[in-house]
Amino acid sequence: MSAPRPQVLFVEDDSTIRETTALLLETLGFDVTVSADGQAGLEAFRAGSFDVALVDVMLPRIDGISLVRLIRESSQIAVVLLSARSEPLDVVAGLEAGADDYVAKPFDGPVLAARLRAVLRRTERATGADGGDGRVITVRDLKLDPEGMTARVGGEPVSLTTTEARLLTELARNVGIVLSRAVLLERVWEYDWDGDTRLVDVHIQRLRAKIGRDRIETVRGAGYKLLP
Amino acid sequence: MTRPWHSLRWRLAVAIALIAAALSAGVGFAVYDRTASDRLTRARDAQADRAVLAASLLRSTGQTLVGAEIDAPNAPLELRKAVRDGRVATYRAREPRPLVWGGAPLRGDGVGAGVYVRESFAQDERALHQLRDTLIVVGVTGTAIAALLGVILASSLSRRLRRAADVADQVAAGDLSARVGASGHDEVARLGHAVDAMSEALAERLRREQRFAADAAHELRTPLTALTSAAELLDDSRPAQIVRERVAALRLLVADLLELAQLDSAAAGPPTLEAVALADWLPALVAERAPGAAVELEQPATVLTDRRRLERIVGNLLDNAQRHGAEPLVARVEGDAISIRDHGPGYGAEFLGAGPQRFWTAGRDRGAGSGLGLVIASGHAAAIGATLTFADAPDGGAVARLTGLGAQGVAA
Repeated sequence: MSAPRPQVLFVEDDSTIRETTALLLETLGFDVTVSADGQAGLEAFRAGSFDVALVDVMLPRIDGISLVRLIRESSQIAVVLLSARSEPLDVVAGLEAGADDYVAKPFDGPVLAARLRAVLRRTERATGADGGDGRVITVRDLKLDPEGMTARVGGEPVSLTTTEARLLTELARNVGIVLSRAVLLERVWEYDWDGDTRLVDVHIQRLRAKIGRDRIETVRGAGYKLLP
Repeated sequence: MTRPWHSLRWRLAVAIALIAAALSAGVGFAVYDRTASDRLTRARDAQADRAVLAASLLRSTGQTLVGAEIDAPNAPLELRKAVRDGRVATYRAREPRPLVWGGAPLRGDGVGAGVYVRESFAQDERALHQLRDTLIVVGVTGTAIAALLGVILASSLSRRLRRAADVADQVAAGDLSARVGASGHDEVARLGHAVDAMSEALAERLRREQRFAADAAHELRTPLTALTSAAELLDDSRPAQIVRERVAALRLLVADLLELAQLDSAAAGPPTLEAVALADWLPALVAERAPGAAVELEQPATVLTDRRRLERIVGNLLDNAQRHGAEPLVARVEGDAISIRDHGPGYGAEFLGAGPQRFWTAGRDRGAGSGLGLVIASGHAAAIGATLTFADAPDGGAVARLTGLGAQGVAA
């Protein structure tokens, strides 16, 4: 049996990159819908149903970071940003807007596919496809349902992206224990090497904004821990 | 530091002191000589007048002037001879006491006795001695003050010159932010301004070149991204393989150029410090990047550093050793120092003399790498405050050594 091909929304203004990357992703097992600018991307997103959005930072009409923000207003879909290492501030802004990961241009087809699959696996795992134990984790008045991708703080539901849910699950399963950025990059993002620690830092900030600032402690030089 | 006699400060100070000494000696001698001869002339004139007065008094009244002697037997011989010859004369005697004698003949025809007077010259000599002592004291003091002023002036001059020279050295060593910051309008200040202007012009030129490289790499990225994807879609024929290979090399080069541009512009953002246990970290990195290399651990430390940069440094060193060196590769941790060694031909004298340079792959396997890996490694090392040194091992092979990571603790 073959798993259904993941649906990718690919928003990129350069026509050659759009065409070749779409072709490549098709050969690597994805179904790709392309859009040439931010406005068209937003319309395509609203019209269709996708598993992951792959968004270039520099886009005409609506730029990539604004597009990510607009997508996040209504959806917790996985979002991967296409950026460059030479634009470090763009990367941070994109992650703050809600992107789950980013891939630097120029990229390797297989590396891009691997990143997309990693973020999709987070969605699957979060929805219980990998047969997680399904138990609700409780830390003080924080209740986390790893399968349902939802958390409750003092009874109030908090909506989390799949990456935030995975990150919080990892922290909650090791409550009171310091997890280093390298460990979190490996367990949540599946980066063995060369993962960008800013991914962890920005996601921790976003988690704090959602569940309360003082629940996650930064341990200087070591990493983060969820306070019991 | 230069030897003292090579220093402008001492040369100037000595020259000024010598001039001051010569000047005060000359002036002092002239003043003393003039004063001494004046005093003597006055004393001689006075005694000559007295002698003439005494002679005419004796002739006209027969009275002897007080202090005058007729035919004084103790008068000097030369004086008496001159008076006997009918002349009015004076004589300066030094022994036994300083005296000035005057003598005049009694009769106009020069025959017979003369009248002699004398006056002590001791007081004048004392005054002259005092004058001489004063002149010597003034001269010596003046010379000392001149020498001191010379040292101060020359010190300031040479300090300012040395500052300009130091800054020029710093600029030559690569610190383009070094500035003299001279104030004033004299020649030394002009030199300082000129050095600053030169360093600023160099920095501007370097900035322009770096910007160009960054812009070029930036612009290459978009077509290259498409090219990479397209190349991956090609079949497995030999030409397609070559295209894929070369595109990969090009991608590496552009990525390295962009990384370098980021290092140059220091836009990498604040570092995230993290505790890295080298005992776990290095074997894992080596397994990923250079599986054939041996790992040696000797009291491996835990360091607090930017893990990403550390990975870039050691990863690039491993890549370089694999590309240009020869087996066996050894990655070694000693405390908080990491060294990567291969057993190839080594870096060579040219590389070791100049350090890592951009695109320096001459004489090596050109095309295997971007030629930027070691430059990038050095840049990251500087950014995390560590030192990266390169050497050739005496028994062959290149050794790159990263030190100064700052141990946090040593793992047992």
